[in-house]
Amino acid sequence: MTGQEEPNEDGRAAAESGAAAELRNVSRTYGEGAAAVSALEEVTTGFRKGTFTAVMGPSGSGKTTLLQCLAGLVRPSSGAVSLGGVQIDGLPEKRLARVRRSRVGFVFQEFNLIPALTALENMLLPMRLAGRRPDREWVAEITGRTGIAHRLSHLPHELSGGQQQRVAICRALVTRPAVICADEPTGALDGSSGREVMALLREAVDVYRQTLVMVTHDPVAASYSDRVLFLVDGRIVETMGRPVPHTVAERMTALVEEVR
Amino acid sequence: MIGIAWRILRRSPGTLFGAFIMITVGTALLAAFAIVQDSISRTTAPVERYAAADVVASGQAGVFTPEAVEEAGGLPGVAEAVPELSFPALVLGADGHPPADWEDTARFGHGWSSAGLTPFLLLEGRAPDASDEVVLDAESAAEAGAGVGDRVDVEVAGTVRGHRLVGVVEAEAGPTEYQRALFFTDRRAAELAARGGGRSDAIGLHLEPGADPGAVAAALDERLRSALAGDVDSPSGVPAYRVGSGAERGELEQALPDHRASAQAMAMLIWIVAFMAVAVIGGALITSVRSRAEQFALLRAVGATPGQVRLLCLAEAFLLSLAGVAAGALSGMLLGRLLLEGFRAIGVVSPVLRVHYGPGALLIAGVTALVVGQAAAWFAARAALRIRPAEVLAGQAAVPVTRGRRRVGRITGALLLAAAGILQALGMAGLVPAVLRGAYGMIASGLVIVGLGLLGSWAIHAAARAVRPLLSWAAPVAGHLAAANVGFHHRRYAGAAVPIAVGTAIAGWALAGLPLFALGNSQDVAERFAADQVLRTPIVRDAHTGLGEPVRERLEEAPGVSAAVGLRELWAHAAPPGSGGPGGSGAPEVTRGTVVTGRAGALLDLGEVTGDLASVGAGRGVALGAAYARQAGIGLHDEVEVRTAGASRPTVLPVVALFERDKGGGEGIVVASEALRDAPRGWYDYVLVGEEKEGRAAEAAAAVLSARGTASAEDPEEFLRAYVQERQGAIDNLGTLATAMVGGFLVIASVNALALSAADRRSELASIRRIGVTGRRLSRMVSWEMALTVVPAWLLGGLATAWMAAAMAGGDLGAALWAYPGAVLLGFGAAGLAAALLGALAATRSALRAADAR
Ligand SMILES: Nc1ncnc2c1ncn2[C@@H]1O[C@H](COP(=O)(O)OP(=O)(O)OP(=O)(O)O)[C@@H](O)[C@H]1O
Ligand SMILES: [Mg+2]
Repeated sequence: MTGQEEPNEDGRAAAESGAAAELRNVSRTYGEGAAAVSALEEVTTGFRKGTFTAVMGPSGSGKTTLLQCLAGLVRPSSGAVSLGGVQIDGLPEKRLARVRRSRVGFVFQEFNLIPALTALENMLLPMRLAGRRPDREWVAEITGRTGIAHRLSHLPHELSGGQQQRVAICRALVTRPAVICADEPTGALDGSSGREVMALLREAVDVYRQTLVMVTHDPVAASYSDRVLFLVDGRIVETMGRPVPHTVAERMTALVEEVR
Repeated sequence: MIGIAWRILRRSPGTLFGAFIMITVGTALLAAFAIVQDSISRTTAPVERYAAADVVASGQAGVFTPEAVEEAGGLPGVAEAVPELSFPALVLGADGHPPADWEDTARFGHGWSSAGLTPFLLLEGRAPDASDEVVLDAESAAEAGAGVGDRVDVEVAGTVRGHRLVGVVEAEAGPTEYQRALFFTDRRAAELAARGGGRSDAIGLHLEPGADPGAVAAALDERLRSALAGDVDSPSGVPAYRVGSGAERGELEQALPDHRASAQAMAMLIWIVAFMAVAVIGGALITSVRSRAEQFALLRAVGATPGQVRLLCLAEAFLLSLAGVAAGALSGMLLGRLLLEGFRAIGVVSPVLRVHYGPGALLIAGVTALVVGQAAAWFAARAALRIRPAEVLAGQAAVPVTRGRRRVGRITGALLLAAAGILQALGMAGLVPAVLRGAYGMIASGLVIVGLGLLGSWAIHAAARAVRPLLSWAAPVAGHLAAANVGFHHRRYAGAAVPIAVGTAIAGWALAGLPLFALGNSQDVAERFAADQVLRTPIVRDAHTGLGEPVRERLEEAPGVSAAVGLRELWAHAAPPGSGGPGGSGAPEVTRGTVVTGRAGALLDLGEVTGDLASVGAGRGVALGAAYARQAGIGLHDEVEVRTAGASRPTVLPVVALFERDKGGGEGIVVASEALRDAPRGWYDYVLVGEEKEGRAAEAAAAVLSARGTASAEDPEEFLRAYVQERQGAIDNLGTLATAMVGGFLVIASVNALALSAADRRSELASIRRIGVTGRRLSRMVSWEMALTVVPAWLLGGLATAWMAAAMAGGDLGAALWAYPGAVLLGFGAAGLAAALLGALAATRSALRAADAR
């Protein structure tokens, strides 16, 4: 299993160019025939190591699909996806699972934790699945930084929503993945918890040089990122560097207007 | 993965509670059936009649020749060999009726010289000395209200004769509990038993002091076997005789019913329950997997491979099974005891049967339940792997499988049902290949279960769609919502309801199978009769007590009677000389043989006959079934060696006729008893009477049988009707009880599954309530949902039953309809629906209460 995760020719090129993950001409269609929906169309973009990218766009514009293609949860209908130097489209399910386990960290909007496992067990789940021993120092470091060290033996229902998201962030960090994919991680949180979670994600990028891709509807959340991709009808229509909440909000409003 | 499974079970046991219940109930049934089977196979008949004999050989009527007895007496260590006759004999009461319990407690006639095998000792009077004298045991005498010197009527082989009671005996060890004894003079006993050639039914050995009974038994067995060169065993392996010493002698008295068939039925039930348990437990596990879709999606997302997810499901089921097995084994022990007592109360099993809790039975039940749990978990794992993590985690409802796939499932389901029916029809007709003969019933039931599983969800979907307009009109809110819910979630509801379909089908199939089996048997028998009257005796302990030659003779001599023929059925075999017995290379299989006495050609309808049937009746040759002869490569006029059960030597006879009606070779031989010189004679199963003028046969029969005793005479139609009933009565008790249990299992399963699905809908119900639907309407909606789920599933099961019944009846729809257990199935459906309604309403109420409390 180590063999297939070694960077291949393409991967080396990608690594040289500094991209932790890359989508090339990725399209995704759902359904067939008359009912076919094109969720992504010929999307090409790279995510440089140690950067934080936010993906925004109207509802149904393909944000989640983009993120899931990148994470190996959805297979693109065409195009290529590479993760940390490994081309993952076309891998059989078993190998794809192993890639996700070691190279992708996930933070979802709502259902992030297995109810029957404690915070620590949830956090270490990818390690357990891989049969790998956790690095104690690293675990102590990230649980300390996210401030859940004293909650580790609690079951998810004993934690607040913000605490649960922090456990999910720790789980995403624990394997030191090539990319962390977050789909509306603050969508179900109140304002202050949301800000705390965003601050933690920003730290992960700044302190640990993690690569982060986040889907969000919230211009404030997007302003924590280095770059915002705007998606409309499955295409990237604009890229914005150094986002500030009100400019992001203006762009979004404009885009929604255009769509109408 | 086992660690995760363990934590899931420990910390949220609720999610898997339903599966746990089903494993527990399933294990309880398995354990109960295994215990019953084990108890049956461990029960030995007590030694009564042969208590004083050290070694006993006994078998079918007349199996031992006088030479064999003599040889037995010459074996080293044997002091004396006593030949014994043991034939059904009844003392009739003053009113001419047999004693009330004559079908339950055996009553045997013997020759006086064998009284010492018990020994029976005279309490009063003296030994029989003349042919019309009889000695009775004290119970029989008391029953008949007769004392020494009185006259008693004794029925033997359909003939009632007056005898003088000259003595009363009792076994040395005290009254025998399970049999009564009548003693005649040796000569009279031989005459009545009519075994021919001085043959006897059993041999009792008294040994010299110090001789080893085991060794003598082995030597005797060997000697006797070599004296049976013309014998064939039954296909199920029942030998012509058995030898035993010690406790084995009890079985050899043949006074108690043989339980082997019951034990086999139990083994079969274990299989059926195991099959159903896979479906039911699988259903419960799948429900729990579906309700945890997010959890499985998350696991997949963070990198669990398909193999790991499967392992998780298997591990969960394994741990759950361990707990379920522990709980189920205990209740199974209780249930097993109740069952055995029930069986004993209705007289299905012998009165000596005692419950036995062997570790073997519990082990079998436990291991079966574990295997069943794993098989069920395999289906659950499939469901878990069908969950698409991307969709679930993005908050989209899981999209149902595509149309094409559904259609494939539906077509496969229908095909499987069709295959099951065809297999069953072939099986009933005796046309399945030999390798499948023992297993086709099980294979067919497996096909039915899987087929119904595949069709169940479609049936519920289709029914919901079909009644939707009607329901929306009849109950605009509750009915409309229910139809929409069931239609949309039909897979979820199907998981709960399929057990009802399967259970209804299995129960219906078993219940229809018994009468059809009896009907088929009886029709096979009656089909060959071209007689005006059929005489017979009731079936006791699986066999006709039988009619003797005097009955036939007197009928033949009666005025207006054209012919009277005695018929006896036994296992037989015919092959070219030198090709050896059954099992020899190239030899055909054992077949049912009919041994005839009298002018058989006139009263047997064997279909088209080539050759001369009359010379068969005269004992000048044998008639073979056309198919049988073809399989054996035998032609008309060839010489064949005929072997019959219990014969000491094969008889070489020319084939003088070939007949058409031989059930594909299954009933392939007709031969006269005169022709079989080296075979024991026995009593007739039937005596057929032909008449010269309308009504004469019935008159003659009435005159010969008199009003007393147990024999009866019927015209062929009456015969068929009465005989079907009797056959059915002889076999169906066990089936009915067992089916009721299996039905109960399914009712529990469906209630469990439906209640679970209701409990799962807390948030859905709460949101419907929020849009202003009252609690009462919600309850009504849930009730409609249950009806929409249970009724189609039940109908599907009923249809499958009809199909299987039609297949078993060989396409005879009248017979299928006659055997269709409509009333019982209706009861099943009603009970299932009622239980589902109660369960779901209770679960809904508690779910709503919990939602309100939030
Ligand atoms: N499994 C699926 N089957 C069919 N269509 C789908 C599926 N998943 C997504 N789609 C469609 O693809 C398009 C893009 O969906 P996607 O979930 O990527 O949008 P999104 O930008 O994440 O929207 P939102 O902001 O509402 O989450 C939508 O039109 C959606 O209906
Ligand atoms: Mg989305």
